[in-house]
Amino acid sequence: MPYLQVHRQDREGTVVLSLVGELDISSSPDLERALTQAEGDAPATVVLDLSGLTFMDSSGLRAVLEADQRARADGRRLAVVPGPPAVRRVFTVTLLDRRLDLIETADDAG
Amino acid sequence: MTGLLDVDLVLPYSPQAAGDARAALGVLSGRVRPELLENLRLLVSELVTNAVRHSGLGTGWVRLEVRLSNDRIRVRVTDPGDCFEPGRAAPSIYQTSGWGLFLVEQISDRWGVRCGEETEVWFELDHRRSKKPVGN
Repeated sequence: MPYLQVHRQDREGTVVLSLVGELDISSSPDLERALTQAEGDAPATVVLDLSGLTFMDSSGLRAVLEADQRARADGRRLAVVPGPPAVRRVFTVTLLDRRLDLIETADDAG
Repeated sequence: MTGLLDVDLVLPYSPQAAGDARAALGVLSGRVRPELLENLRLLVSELVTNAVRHSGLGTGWVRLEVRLSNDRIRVRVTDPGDCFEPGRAAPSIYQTSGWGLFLVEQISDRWGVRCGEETEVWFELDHRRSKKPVGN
């Protein structure tokens, strides 16, 4: 059983990718594929909703940071719903919550 | 580590090794505080991932040893890959990689690297509440 599922939802100009499961070295390529596909459709905003994750380590963090870097370069917004405490704390311990555009729910992307 | 180990596992070199190592920690559930188990899962995942990423080419392996004692949890992750000098400084927030060992530095109570025939990275988590504030 794959331990990460990526669900995509398209709204006007926004692609929401909702992640369910565990995000690590083995599953981050699945996220990267979904991101590449979403970014190819040139949305104004990509939302990464991590609220369904039960685990994320620095391999997942790296995928999120690379998506953020591409978004900045391309003039796109990347908003991140940082998920449950076990996931959110990876952003806070690294102080990357200050760099990333964190929102409370996917609906807050506007 | 001498005496009985609570977890002693040798995993083949593959991306699945990190998830398998985390799953093996399930035996400690109920024996350590949930927050501590969460920290343990994260740091074990980081060290096993590092071993897999840096273990070199071909068939490698990574060994995970965990030992519970009255005051702490001691973890040792060993692989046949090249040794390294641990950097303890925070990466720049504009770096996308290099965060794994920074998490180990921030969350563990102590850690280190031992170079020999094999590369060993170890860390300890104390059962008492960490002196370091860890996120929220």
